[in-house]
Amino acid sequence: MGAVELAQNSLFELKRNFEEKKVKILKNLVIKLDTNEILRLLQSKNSEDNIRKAPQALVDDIKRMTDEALLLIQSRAIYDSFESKELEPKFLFNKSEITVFAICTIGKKLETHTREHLQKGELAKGVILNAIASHAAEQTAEHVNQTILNELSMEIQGKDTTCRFSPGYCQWELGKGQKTIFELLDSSKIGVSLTSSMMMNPVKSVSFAINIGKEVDKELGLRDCENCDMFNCAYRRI
Amino acid sequence: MSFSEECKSAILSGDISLAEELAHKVIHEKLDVNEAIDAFSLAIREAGDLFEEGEFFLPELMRSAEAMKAAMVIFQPVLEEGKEDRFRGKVVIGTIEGDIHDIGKTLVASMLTAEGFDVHDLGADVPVKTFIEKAIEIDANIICISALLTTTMVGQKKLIDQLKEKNIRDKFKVLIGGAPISKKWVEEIGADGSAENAVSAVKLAKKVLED
Repeated sequence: MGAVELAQNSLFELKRNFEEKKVKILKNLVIKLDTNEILRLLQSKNSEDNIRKAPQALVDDIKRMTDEALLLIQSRAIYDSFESKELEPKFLFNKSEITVFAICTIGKKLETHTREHLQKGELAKGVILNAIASHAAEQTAEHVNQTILNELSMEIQGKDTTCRFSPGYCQWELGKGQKTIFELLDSSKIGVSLTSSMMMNPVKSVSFAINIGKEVDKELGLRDCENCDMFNCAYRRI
Repeated sequence: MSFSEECKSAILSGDISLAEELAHKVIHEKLDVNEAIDAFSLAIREAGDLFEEGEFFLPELMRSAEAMKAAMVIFQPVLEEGKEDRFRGKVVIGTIEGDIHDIGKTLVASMLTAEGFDVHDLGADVPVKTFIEKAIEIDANIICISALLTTTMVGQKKLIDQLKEKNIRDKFKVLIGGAPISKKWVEEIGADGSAENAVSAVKLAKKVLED
């Protein structure tokens, strides 16, 4: 598999070719961050019914720190498509024709910067930067998701796609899912590694899959606990 | 405004300078240190409740913790002299081996410190052996272990099993935390409790020491 590095703008010029697969790498992605989403991440999970208007000083702090964080965010991704019938576990992939795997990251710099603030005892700054980083990782994954769908628009015609779903969700065992994705994609090209406990380093990274096909389960990837039948899941939040 | 009200105001507004000024006043004017710490503690608890009720955002709670910590640093020499008969629970805290997430654990450590606990933060990716050695060394009351993934939470069980093997399980309260932790897991491994955020972790730590 020959690796080709692509600028974001030139991505759309790429013609997908099943016989001569090319790993796609995206670098320097431009992502937008939403102050309201960062505020949501900074609220107690128990208090979502009681959404208080944020004080202006906090909003200003978040905006200022978002500008600071954007200089440290290095959004990158690697992805490729595979024939679903070759993939395990069957219950996830057997109705799909093409599966795209992707790994996205915002890099290490913001994580290090956040840790430095926390170690100095600057807790408020630390938690704001951490929330910005979490949001940035999700926005990067969303951006990559959209890029993939745009690129595959021809193949998708007449077919359905799932939302992106990640190892650890949708009954996809975390360890097995991570192994599959990291064996198929050379994550070192975007500076992401997998620890022995299947954790991604840098921490603010996202791995995911998208299934494409005429009979795919469109509910798959709707990563909402309310729509999930894993009632004893350790991560269940309702 | 009474002195207690000033203390409360300093903590709830996250005013580090005012908290330090009030703590210095207690020392210089030889006021009752215990009473002052109680006033600050009451305020940080209120900040925690406000966070849980959705009235405070996390950075506001953290600013309160920063102000509280700044005051406690000033009280520290007096507390170390031991003249103030004040019990401070000793806590060993860390994220378990194989797990590199440390923000949640750091927040719990900070809130425990702000509330006057003597906290030894071992960081992330900490072997079970290190947790146990440190707990024995400092004669800890509580061991707090964080694990963020289903693949690493088995380390929490390993720690409790090793405490049992060494016949020292009863010496420590073991509290666990992290996204995948459920009540069922707490019962299964025989932990003393779990908390889902830094505020409830402090409440739990106090509760288990009272039991």
